[in-house]
Amino acid sequence: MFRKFSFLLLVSALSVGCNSAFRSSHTAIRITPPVAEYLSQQTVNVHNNSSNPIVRQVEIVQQTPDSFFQIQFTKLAGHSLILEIIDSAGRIRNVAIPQSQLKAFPFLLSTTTAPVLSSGIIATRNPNVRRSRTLTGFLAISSYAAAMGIDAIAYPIVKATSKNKLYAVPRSFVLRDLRQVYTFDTSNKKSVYRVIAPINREVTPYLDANFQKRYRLILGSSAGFGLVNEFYNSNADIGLKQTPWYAIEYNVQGSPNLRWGLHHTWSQHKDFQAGITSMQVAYVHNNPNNGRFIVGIGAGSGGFKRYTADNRVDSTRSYRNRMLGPDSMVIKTAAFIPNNKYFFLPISGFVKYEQELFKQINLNVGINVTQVTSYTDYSIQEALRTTESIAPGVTAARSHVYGFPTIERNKAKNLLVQFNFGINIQLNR
Amino acid sequence: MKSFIKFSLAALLALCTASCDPSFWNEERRFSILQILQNNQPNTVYNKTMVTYGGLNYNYVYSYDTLYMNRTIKPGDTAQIYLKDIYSSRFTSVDTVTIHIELSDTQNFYQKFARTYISEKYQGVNDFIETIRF
Repeated sequence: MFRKFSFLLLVSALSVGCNSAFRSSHTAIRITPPVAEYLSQQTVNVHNNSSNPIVRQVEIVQQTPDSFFQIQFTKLAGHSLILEIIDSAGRIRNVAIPQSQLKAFPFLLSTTTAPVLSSGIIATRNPNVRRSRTLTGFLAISSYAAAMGIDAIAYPIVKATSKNKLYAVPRSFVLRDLRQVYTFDTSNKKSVYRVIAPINREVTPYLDANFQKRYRLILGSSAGFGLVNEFYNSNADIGLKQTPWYAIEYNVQGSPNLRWGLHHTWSQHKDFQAGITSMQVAYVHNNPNNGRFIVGIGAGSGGFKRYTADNRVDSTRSYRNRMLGPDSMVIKTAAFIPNNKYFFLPISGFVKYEQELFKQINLNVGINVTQVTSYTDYSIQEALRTTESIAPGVTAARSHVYGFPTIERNKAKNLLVQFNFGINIQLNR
Repeated sequence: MKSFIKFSLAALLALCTASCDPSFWNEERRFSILQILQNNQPNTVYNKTMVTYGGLNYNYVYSYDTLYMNRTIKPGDTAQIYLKDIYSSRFTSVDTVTIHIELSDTQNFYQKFARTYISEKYQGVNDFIETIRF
């Protein structure tokens, strides 16, 4: 249940949250109560300051938590808008409103949902059956191609129909005082309308002095030791061993509290090799001492290949529901099949703490919990073995191998808990 | 866009062609017998073997066939009688093979017995390995 819920949450977050089609169609400017009082007595519009301006009606809304008000209007494209305030005498105040162009990735099916779905399809692949290998490959490629096809149609449509939704007024921009805004006399047609753009005095890594969006690239690597909790019931050693795991990741952070990216982790052991590539989203809690507490989830595609495992032989005295005599037994030989490549759909969650060591270089420690599926394949061959005395001084030991070998696929679910220690570099863009 | 459609069609064609590969289906039924004669006698043993089996010939008539083999087995040595892929012989539907074995040396050792091997028709593979020690 938790796995399904996490999967749906992640797919929704990745595919819907950053798509312009699902963004709000309204934007708002925070204003102080005196400004709200003044504006409520004037005629207020917003336009995009072009030769053929598009004008939006402005609505004043009370905002309770911080006693600020806000004016709200349907979004308009452009890096700066003009708030046009017309008083009772017909004089105009034009206030430049900065807008940020929202930048977010991913926002296409082929870069979000489709890779996870294709991973789910290819996870059903049985490497022992040629038709299964072909069919799952075909379905995975087809579903991905279908997603690309939908994107090829949807992307231009969304871009054309939602171009205004790409822009928003930064929340840090507040209209506090209109007294310093110059009032134009509209009776003087020769006067030049010159509106001074505001400057952001609270520059952050995510918003520059011109109120334009910036983002951080975070490149990291880490290593840790994986403890394994196994969920399977088998007499074969089919789980994961406790091994070192290594990881590299690439994250983008466009706001103080949200980070998303790609994470690849792998482990190489003499018995097996496993690798997991996940898309991940994380909530970032910033501490005042340049530390960050990060919690996130991920999903993607995992690969598992086992190189060695013990062969085994089981014997029984039951043959087709009948008990055999003391000179007979059924021998079941299980021969390990090496190098079968399996895919699985991992779900992961992580918690880590990141501390700035030097400028743009961070150390991090954390725990990453991932569900890893491991596989061990055996070729099973049964034989009826009998021993008898066939003449004085002559004995015969017979082995009757019957039936084609069958494939026994042992699947084990492992909860891998990795304790990681790593370093990352952040680049401001 | 055209390139994308061309690529998709080429991939589809390749996958359909690959999935029709007949090698996936060519597991054949098998019936074979390996008999190992192990001489624990102090003297050299002479072996005479007569193998009889029957089945449908290519004219769908049930017929028998008989093979004769002679071996000389030194003390401590082994000899093998191997009937490989009996289904691929000149008969089809072979289900029973009988091997009559006669062992003797120049002294007092002499044994004569028959071994019968019956293939189970509902099993795809019937491979017998039998070690006879004397």
